[in-house]
Amino acid sequence: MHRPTRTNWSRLLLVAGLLLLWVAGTAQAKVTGISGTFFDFTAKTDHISTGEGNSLLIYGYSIAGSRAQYPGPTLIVNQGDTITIRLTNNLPVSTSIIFPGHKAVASGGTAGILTREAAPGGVVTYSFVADQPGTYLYQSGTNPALQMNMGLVGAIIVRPTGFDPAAPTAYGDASTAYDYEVLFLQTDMDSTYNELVEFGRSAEINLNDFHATYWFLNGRNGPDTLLPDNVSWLPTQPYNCLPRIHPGDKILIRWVGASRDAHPLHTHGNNFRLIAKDGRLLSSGSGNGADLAVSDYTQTVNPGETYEGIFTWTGAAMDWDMYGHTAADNITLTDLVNNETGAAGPDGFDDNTYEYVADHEKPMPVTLPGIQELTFSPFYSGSPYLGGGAFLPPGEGGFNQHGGYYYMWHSHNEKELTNNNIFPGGMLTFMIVEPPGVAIQ
Amino acid sequence: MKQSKRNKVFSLILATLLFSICWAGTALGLTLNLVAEQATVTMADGNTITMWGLRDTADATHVAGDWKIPVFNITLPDTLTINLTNNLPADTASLVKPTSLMIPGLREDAMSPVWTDGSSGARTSVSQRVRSLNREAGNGGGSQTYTWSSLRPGTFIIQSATHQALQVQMGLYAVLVVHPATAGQAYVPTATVPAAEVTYTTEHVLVFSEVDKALHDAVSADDYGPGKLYTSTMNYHPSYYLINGQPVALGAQQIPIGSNTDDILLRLVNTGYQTKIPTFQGQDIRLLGQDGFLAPYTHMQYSVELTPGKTKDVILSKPNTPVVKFYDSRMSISATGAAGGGLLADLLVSFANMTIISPNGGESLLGGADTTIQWTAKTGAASYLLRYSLDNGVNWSWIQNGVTGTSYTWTVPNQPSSQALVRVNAKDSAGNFFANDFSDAPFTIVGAPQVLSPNGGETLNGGSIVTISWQAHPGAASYLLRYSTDNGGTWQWLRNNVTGTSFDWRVPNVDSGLALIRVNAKNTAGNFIGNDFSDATFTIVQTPRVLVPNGGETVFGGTQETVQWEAVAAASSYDVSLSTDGGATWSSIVTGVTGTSSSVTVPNNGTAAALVKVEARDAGGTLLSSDQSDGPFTIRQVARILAPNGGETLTAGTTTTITWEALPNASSYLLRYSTDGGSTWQWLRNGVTGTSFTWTVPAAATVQGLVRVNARDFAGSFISNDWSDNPFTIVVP
Repeated sequence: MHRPTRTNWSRLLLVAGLLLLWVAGTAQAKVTGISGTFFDFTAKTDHISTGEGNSLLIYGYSIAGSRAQYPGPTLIVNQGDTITIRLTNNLPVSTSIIFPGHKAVASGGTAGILTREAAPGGVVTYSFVADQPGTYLYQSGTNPALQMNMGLVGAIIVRPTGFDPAAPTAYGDASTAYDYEVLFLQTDMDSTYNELVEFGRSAEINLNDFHATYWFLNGRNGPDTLLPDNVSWLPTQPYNCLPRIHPGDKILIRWVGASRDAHPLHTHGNNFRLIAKDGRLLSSGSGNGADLAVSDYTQTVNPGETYEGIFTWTGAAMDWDMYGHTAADNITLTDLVNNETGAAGPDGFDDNTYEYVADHEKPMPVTLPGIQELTFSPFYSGSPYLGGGAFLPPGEGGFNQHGGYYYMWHSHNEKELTNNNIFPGGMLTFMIVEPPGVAIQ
Repeated sequence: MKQSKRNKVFSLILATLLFSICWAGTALGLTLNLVAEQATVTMADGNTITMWGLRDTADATHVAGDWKIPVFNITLPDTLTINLTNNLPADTASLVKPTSLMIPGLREDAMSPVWTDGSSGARTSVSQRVRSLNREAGNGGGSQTYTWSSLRPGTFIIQSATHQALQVQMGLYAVLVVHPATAGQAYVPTATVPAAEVTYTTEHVLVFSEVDKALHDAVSADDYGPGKLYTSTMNYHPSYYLINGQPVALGAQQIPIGSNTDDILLRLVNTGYQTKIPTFQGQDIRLLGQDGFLAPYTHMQYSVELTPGKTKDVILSKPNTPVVKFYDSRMSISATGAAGGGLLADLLVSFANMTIISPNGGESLLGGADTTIQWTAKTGAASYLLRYSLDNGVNWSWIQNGVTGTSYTWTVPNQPSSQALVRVNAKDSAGNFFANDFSDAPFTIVGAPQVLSPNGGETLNGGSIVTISWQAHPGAASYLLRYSTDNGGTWQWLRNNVTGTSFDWRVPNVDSGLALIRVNAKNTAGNFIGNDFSDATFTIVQTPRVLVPNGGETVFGGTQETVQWEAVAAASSYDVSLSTDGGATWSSIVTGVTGTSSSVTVPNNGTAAALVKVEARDAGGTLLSSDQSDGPFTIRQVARILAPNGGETLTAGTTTTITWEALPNASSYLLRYSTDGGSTWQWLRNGVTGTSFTWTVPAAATVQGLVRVNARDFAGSFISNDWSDNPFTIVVP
């Protein structure tokens, strides 16, 4: 059998062994955002780029004189802090912010239907106590059916009291511990609205007549979701949406429904455990942790609601060795402790690499086709084995430098995998399982 | 800080008692006589919509021809019987109008379908499709009786069971609330849902529905059906969103739901065809159950997914706000496409006593900024007096007297305090005080804009760049920065209209032990709204600020360069030293200079990390202060001519050796000579390696002879240039 991965993997193991000690103690990958207790927002117009090449007018929030961004800055705050947000309105229409799940007090501006508003050129200030941890939405409270579509939305993450970045939890309870976290702020857009606003024809907008043409994760369409944060060619869409984990890692998914329609977000690779809704733990009572968590593979993300789920991937029970080990490799696994709890005693997984012990050295039960029989995705490493890699035909592959496994995470409403009818795009990204030892930032 | 609640509690007990007596069940059964009939509802925009509705003939307030959503209550173990009379308009060729009733989730005792051919019983032909899910009442006055003898607690929809896609949209629905035997409970408690979680003191039904005007118009004009203008609900497209069927104007519907001491059971019902997400702004509700099933565990949340045909029961407990903003997060908050109507309501909470809503304790307010003081009205109050305390109520200062309404925009005093309270006193029309409340707990006033640095105690070098930073002041559009060197006696402008919260300041090169920084916040109108200066003085030390070289320059080894600096008033002399390694080590160049400049010879050491340092000393030689170049400058090493370097007499036709210094990164050298003092140069040899060359002196008599060496790097670029320091002579024999 053609075994291109063995030498690569042996080398990687050595590196992994060295890296593991280092990785274990470093700050974990977390959601990109801004921290503090005072945030100085300006609402203004700008443009975004969509995945298929369109450009749309948006209303967006900016901070510190920067350009407007879509979505607004992710605010990362601490439980118990009093948060103040000053909104200066540089839009041609009145605007405001509401904070579902928080008791916000507004001052300045003029009275509006849902909260106090800033007229064009005006200023309004909001203040609330971030009294409960979790994931929250903030959004326009003025004509929100239009202004949310135009981009005036964002996320708030409230860290629990006693939050330790080296051992993070979502709610302070051990049942909500995680290694990595990722934001899925889900929006949709009827580009007709944006175009009519840009052409000065807002009066023709029928708010009852919403028909989304674009779907976004953290303000980007697929495949732009995969790019790094802050790429220069998406100056108003700074956030990516690219979850990456190692086998056995726990990643906290923070879903925020900032859309007009509900969108079912589907996680390939494994189920997640839904631990909270609306920033409130699914718990049978105080001190019981997330004992009412449920396992699922699709989360319906409703407008105005938030959810948190913890996802993990081990590759257990596939019935073949995902690293392609054979007896000839002479690799002995060690399973003396429970990887998750640290308690003594085996848990069925190698203590260093999270390899599933029962599948060690089991051959893949199919004969792999030759490369002349394959078509290639840019994410195929050339090997079916985790951490593997092999020669690929010229021009093929290249986006999967660590030999990770790419699992599509996407809206299960498949028509939403398009950008104004162009496939692929929309609410689409990948979750990457990286081999042990690969640094994840 | 409340007045006695005894009266309120007593009335609650009385009400509950009466309620219990009324609802104490004796399995008598509830019989309703309902009429299905055409009615109209006029929307806020003036459009009159044709509806089909259910009317309870026992309800004298429900006038025939008006459409509304009936709500019926029943308490277990009662059973329900409905006598339905169908007074819908006559059939047309394209639309027949029998009707029937069902309650999704509760089986009617004799439920039986009716087929499209009008027959019932077993289906006998594949051409039979279902027309009604239950026994029909024919139009033109036909009737039918339905009985539900097995009920369970919860909230249910009574709706048409005939051609529901059309008839439910047309308005044939009502709400049935089934109460358990124990009054004041929404459901029967369980081991995991204790009685406290299902107990309420008042309840309200909130029904969400939609109207597609085009569909209703088509039905009214017999334009509905296959081949007609509006063929089916396939093209359903609502134009109005309604709460409890109320055709409200643009803006939020006002719905009183109870008092701030109530546990308010809200029964949420969706009879529309689109999902709603009712959202309670700033309030958590407890989700009890759905479709008449108590959840295994209840959950606190602030939004509720309400799919079509769904009922959910939630409890809003003791809302401490006079208005709970309530809206659909799916943004069905428009009417015929315009913003601001639809599923948008102010849920009004009454307060028995006058109560401060905000600031009510725990808030952090910024001095100089506006905030809203909010309280609930006191019956009989003509006006209110507002006061604040900074010491937890020992002393009170007036904010405003004679305030009407229940809110006031207060400019918070710029006096930091963690013991602040506000107090409201109600006054009757005679001006007498008769009620009083203050914040339940202290709130904090943070002084603003708050200088963070330099904030006292620092020692800054004159001429250096120091970052001034301050805490942002809400309401500020820009800031004015000033400094004082005499402890605030006089203030010099530093910069006006600064945005952001920091500024890089070139510290003035003066001596002062009494320096302060001051920040004034200005609003968009340019008015000062907040002010702070350093908590204590800091020190500025005058320095011999290096002017040249101050970073970025390039000088050549072996040349003469002038170092310049600023005078220090107390200094009598200055020492100059040089570093070629970024300041790690220093070597003295000249000492005891009395002016503010000195000409020095640049050492022939190549470096990009050169700095000069000037030290000011008093008459006794004591170091007063020093300064060095702000940034590194570059010294370019030169391959210097060693011979002939001036003064030699060379004889034409003989050989002489030209020698020069090696340059570490040179690959070769270009040699030239001049016989006219450097006006013109003749090539001697290019590409010379090594550091010497044997030259046959040309037959060109001159007293102005020079040789020149240029070094090249490995790319061939010139990197050094030198010629004889002085001319030599060539004699021709």
